[in-house]
Amino acid sequence: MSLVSKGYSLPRVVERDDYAAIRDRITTLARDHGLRCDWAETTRRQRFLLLWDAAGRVVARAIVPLYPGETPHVVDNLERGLAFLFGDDWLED
Amino acid sequence: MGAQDSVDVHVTKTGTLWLATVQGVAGGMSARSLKELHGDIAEGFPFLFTDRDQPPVPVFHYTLPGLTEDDLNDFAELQRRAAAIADDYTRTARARVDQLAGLGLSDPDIGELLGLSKQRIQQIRTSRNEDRQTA
Repeated sequence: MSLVSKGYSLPRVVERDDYAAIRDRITTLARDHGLRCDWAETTRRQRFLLLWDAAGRVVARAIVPLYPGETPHVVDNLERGLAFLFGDDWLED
Repeated sequence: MGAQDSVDVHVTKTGTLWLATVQGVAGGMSARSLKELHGDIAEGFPFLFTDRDQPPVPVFHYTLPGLTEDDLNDFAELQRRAAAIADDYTRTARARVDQLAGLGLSDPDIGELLGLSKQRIQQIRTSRNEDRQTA
């Protein structure tokens, strides 16, 4: 019997060295906050991100590393930089 | 519209990677070379600041062991001065060669007067003639 079926919840901590996990967390939180994500996939090592509100204003700009395991400081900076929108430790909760 | 905005870009090196953080932008960039980093910034800015009339100009600040921002600024100033002196030298050398040639002096004599080889005098005269033909 799996942990889920016994009533345990799966860990909600995002793997900080997994680009897809970070991207999915941002996408989910943005949707929850009524924001639209625009991604640009033009460079080899990062993705550029704009977050727009419903009024068509840019509320945040971000550069998300594709290889976050190689650049933990960038991930820390990403977490701090979006905390004003998503709350502190939005990658951890 | 006023002058184009600028944003600070702080660059450092960790191991084999160059890292950059951009003022007002969450996260940051990495690259294997400084040229790649500059290229990615040039690529990303129009998108990141698409809500502005034009993207801001990146102002780079480098933090490297033993190297201060003044070191780089001083060298950039030296480069500007060296380029200005080189321009002045070329202009003045051409003017003197023209002047002396106009007096009927030979290339070896002009070279002797200016402290240049006759081959260099010939080069100056040749480039002068080419400039006149293309003007």
